[in-house]
Amino acid sequence: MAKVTYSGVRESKPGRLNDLGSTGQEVSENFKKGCLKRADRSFAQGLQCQQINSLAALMSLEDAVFISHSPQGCVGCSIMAVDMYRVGQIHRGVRNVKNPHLIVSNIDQKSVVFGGEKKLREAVDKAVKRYAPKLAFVFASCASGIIGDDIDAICSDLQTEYPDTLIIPIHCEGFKSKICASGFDAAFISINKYILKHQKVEKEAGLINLFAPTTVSYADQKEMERMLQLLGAKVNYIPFYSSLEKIRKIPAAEASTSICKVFADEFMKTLWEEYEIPYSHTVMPIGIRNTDKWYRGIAKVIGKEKEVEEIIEKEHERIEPLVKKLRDRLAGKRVFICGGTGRSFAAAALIDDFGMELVGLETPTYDDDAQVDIEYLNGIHKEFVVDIANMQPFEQVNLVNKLKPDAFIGVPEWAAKLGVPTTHVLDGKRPTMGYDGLLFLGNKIADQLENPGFNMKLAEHVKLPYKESWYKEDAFKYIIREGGN
Amino acid sequence: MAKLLDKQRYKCALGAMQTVQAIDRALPILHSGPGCAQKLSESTGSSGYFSPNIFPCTSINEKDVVFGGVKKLDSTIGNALKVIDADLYVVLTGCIPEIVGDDSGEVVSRYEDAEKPVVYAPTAGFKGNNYKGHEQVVDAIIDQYLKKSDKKQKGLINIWADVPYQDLFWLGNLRELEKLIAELGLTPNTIFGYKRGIENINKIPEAEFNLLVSPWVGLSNVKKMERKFGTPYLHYPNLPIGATETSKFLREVGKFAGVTEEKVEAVIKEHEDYYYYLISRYADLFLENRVINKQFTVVADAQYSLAITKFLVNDLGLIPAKQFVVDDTPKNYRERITEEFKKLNFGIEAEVSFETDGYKIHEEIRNHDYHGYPLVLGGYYEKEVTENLKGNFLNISWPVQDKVVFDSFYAGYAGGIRLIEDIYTIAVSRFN
Repeated sequence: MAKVTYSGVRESKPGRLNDLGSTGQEVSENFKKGCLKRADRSFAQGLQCQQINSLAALMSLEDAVFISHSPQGCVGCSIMAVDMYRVGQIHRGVRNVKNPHLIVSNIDQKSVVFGGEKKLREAVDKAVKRYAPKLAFVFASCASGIIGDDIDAICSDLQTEYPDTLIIPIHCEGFKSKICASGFDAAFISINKYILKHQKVEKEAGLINLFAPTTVSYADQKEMERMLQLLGAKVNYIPFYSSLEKIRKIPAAEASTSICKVFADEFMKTLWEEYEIPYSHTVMPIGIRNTDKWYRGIAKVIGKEKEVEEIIEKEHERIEPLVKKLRDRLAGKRVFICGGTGRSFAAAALIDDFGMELVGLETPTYDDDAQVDIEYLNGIHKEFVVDIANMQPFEQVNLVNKLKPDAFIGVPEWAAKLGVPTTHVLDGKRPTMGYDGLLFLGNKIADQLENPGFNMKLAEHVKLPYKESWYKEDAFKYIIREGGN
Repeated sequence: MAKLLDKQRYKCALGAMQTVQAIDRALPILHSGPGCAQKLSESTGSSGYFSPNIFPCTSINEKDVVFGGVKKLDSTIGNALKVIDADLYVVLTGCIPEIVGDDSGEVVSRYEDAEKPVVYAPTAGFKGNNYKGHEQVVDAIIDQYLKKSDKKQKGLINIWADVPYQDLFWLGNLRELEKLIAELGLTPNTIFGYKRGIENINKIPEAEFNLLVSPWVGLSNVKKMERKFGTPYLHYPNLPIGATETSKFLREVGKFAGVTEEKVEAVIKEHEDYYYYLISRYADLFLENRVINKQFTVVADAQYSLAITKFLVNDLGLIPAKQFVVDDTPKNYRERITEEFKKLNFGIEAEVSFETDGYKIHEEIRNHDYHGYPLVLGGYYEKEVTENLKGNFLNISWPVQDKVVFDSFYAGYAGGIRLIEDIYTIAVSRFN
């Protein structure tokens, strides 16, 4: 059978679904029986566009320009990425803080009728002349995809004109996927196709690829690097704050691992298949159990099983008394968690370190990977609601209002307005991960619980925008089988 | 429409979801690709009653691209009416439905008899930016919701200014303009911000006249209202900042509204006295302690580029270097705006460039001799170039990252003082 090339659309993987309301036990059993069916929502709130993830994955690369082949709104939120990039530079001690070079080809009405090729050529032209970059990424959009611009052919043609800049098209049209992590895959597919080009390079002893998305803070980067260095590894931290040279080194590594479950997971498979680089794909290293698991995973791949156990033992000795203090403050509290695929499951495992109880989990996708986590969580927590949803705050507040948790971990805005103490877990600027991150996060949760005043005051004074009748309805009322995709 | 955008200054027409968001209890419903709401939102100041993640959205997928998304739009509108508690529902279409040809207007028309009004504005991103999208939303309300009123309310004035959220100071500016108009003995009516909403929208046709305070945004709206409701309008092309401009503004509005000269002059005198009480106390700062460089550049939309230029020249005695208007002002308005830049005290004229290409703007700033370090008021992108020139930078236009604004404002006398505070807070915090 011919090998099927992965398209970068995460829904293309059988058994992965985006729309489901269930419980931990039920979803696990149904998954085993093969009874989970794809569905859709007949009413839904806004999602995240995968183009953002493609852009975010690459935005901090040196000597690069980013060309959005799109109408003028598609990078409307780029200031958030600019902020992340600037804060990241400051954390890394950069003195002359730079903005990323971001250009929009500005597809207009004429382009919609006659095609946007001319606009794209002009954008690449100007980008190269103005910034003389080593890398020019061209990001597709809904509009460029539907009007049928062949960005691959245009880029390949421009490549001959500008041999000193790698011109790299990325297929991240928003409508192709409801899972924004698809945008990460689209970026890696292009990195492989246009930079690595399936060529093998000389191996570098001890080198490990550490894939990290933009949302990983510098504190977390240092913690991950510290842990890997304790195993005697050299770390190639990519693609965040890296460069063309570091990307070119990817095939020279002896092993790969990633900080996030949905970042570079497909790419690491490709690296194994095409470059024979073994990899570890486990969990996100948040909390003791997950950090151990993540650490053991990569140690096994590089044959450091014995060493890792020694280090883990030492780290536990150091960390456990401190975690116990946190446990005294947090044990028995009931928690609702909402986050991305990696962080939501990691946070769910983390709360076990603190003796907290899971009552609800909201996460964007369910698949065989999620099944492993759910089976683990089912072993600890007896009953919890599972909402497979990308945000969908209307479902969330319906559930939170019924479950009345003591604490909420994740995207905080709506639970806060119900007066529940909230802790934000997607913190790209402060520590979250590894043994030290655990303490930072634990203290953050405990402090929030000790003074829930802000959220309580907020709840007293503001109302969420839903009709009273909605809170009495089944939260999953609008998830329908028909038209599932 | 503008060519390529290097360092983009605005969003697409669908960004008008923020115009809807600024109307109390009005909900945008997006018929668009997944993620458009998130891409068009701000990173701060967007967690109110309705926020971008709350906006219902059809999140069009591949199947809808092929077979059309009208069915999904229908269920999304119908269910939004059931689940979400709003006074006005505004359906906005993005690029995809307009390329594939969904008849969104027809779907919306099915809700004519709904319990709450549902209107529709076509806001495809490839058709225009959010300045145009803003006008389309206001148009949709005029065309599809409001009706001509026989009842006119004496002294009731609708005030229109620039685009909410795109304009960092939209809320405070509107409130300050309301206050000034009220001091003339008139009754202001605005539709954006706290406790305005549908009740104020309902009053629009009863107004004596529309007051548009903007170089160009909203002119098509007030003209439409003149045709449809017979409401005359006064187009005041400059957001007044500081004493000189605000006094001019009050005199012109007073004249148009038939307020007596004594009344207008009394209001002006009281404000100017207090304004100069403050200025005189801090004159040492301007004259001795922190003599900032005389030359400045504003990189902003037509509104702020013009308003701040007038203020800095006429009140603070600075000299304009080249000014940049970055909102892709429609060509037919440009000549009149250029003329406004020439109406400065002492015969001073400011050169203005309508430019959306940030690279060219930065090249010009770098190559201009400011006779020292420049004062640059602009979007966040100007921070880097100004820092390289060791100048003073204030983030006053989109995109904004350097400033948190709840309800602060630059309009009026008090607004001028706020702007001076902001400029000199930067000057004194630096060693220059």
